[in-house]
Amino acid sequence: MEYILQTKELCKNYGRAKILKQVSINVPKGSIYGFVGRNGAGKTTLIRVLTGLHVPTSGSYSINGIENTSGDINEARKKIGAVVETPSIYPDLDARENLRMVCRLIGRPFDKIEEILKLVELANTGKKKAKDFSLGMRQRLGIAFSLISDPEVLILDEPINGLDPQGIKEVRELLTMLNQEKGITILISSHILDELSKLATHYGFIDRGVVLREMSAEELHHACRKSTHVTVDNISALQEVLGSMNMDYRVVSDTEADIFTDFYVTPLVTELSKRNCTVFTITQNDESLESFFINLIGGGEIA
Amino acid sequence: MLNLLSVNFRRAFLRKRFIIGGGFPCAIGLLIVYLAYRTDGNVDYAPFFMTGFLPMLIGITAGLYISQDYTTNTIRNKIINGHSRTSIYLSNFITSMVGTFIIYGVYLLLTFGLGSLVTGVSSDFDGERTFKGILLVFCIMFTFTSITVMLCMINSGVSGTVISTLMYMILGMSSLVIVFVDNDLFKELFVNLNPTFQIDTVSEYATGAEYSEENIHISWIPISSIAYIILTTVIGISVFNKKDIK
Repeated sequence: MEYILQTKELCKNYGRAKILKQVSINVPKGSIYGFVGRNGAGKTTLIRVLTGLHVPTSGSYSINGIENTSGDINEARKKIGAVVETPSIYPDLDARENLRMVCRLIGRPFDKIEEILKLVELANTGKKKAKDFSLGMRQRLGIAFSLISDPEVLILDEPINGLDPQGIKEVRELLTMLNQEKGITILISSHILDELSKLATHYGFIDRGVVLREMSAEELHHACRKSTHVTVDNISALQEVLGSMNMDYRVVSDTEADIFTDFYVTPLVTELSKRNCTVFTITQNDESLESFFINLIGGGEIA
Repeated sequence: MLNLLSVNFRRAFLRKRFIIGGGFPCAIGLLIVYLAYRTDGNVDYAPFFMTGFLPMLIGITAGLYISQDYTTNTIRNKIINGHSRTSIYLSNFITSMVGTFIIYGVYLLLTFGLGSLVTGVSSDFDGERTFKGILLVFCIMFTFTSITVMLCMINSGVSGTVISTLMYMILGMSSLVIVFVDNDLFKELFVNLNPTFQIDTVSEYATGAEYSEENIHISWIPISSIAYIILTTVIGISVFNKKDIK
């Protein structure tokens, strides 16, 4: 798998406080990478390091294979668009002037401005100054900033924070379109798990500055899938019976299996006893993304 | 770098803040010319009338421009879009230097240029001495500008602007040190290398008032200005390169 963003044992300290502790993440090219963690887990700090706003204490990161210690890192960064926390807009300028300013900053002509304004649905804002924009409009203008440079990677820090449901939907649809139609890799941090689950193809879970786990959406789906966990003394007999009943299942160990199809317990147990197979336990497993995350971080509240 | 300068010049000079900052010395300049005209005086020493006030104007205009980049977080755009921190620092440095040049240049044009046409100069006007004095004022103003850029680039808030605005007075008040140190060499170095005292020295030199070549070294001013500018820029860039931007 080709990775467009990688960190290797990245550490960031503020004085004595260790905010990032040997963080290693791998963002596959073309993915929407959901970076999940509670408030204060280190998500924004990692994003600040990746965008060059903060200097790492130790460890390294690479963008498109170019290490942060390389002299070419600023060139690599030109292929990144980012919105870190609040969008960095020029408050006294309207949307078009704002984008013109960014075009000047990166030495691009103004010809893409109208297209991008339409894309983020700010084409009709006229001379309204950015300081008078709603939060959703500011977020979309921030995303427009990051799209001007034709980025290969978009890094968004809590882009749906404070948005109303309509605004959240608009941002979600925009990001899905950018990923699927333009092939832009997106790293998006959030603590709103439900919303992330509608977007992300890959996940990284972080807590107290430590990356706990990275997984694909498919793996997470399996982990959170509603299932029935069965423990028996003869796994071959169980496989035979489940096969004959056309059930979707996964063998977990020599004595355990997860069954993903709804079933009646009595016929299954009857069939198993005919094959001299003893059933020890049958338990229901219905883990949501939220409870999966809580279990992963070892309990506690999600902020 | 050119892209950064393009944005900087638009942000710095086409805004209300700079027009107000630059408009004030213009108004003072016009007032000086008017007063000289009304009193049948001349503008021989007009280039040096407002020199003590200029560092404050530099602190306000350059300082507020740089600190605004922090308060609106637009400095992030420069870093995220792949500009090196050294380029960002130097582009702000160049923008501020040009701003200083414009502010004092416009003041000179009005007071001395327009003034000499309106009132003329006196018979004992020393053109060479005045020209040298103007160049020396530029050197000192560039020193103050460089200090302002350093303070504002390494302080994220407006504290850099506040300190820069008061820099002329802070350096002036530091003369209290002389009271406690009984060493002639130290006193000589302190007086000649302190930018606030340098402004007074240039005024005295240009106007010929109370100027003594025994302890005052006018030739030290351009050399010390270059040294200050290099030193503050090197310190500023090295601190800014390691600074975490919010």
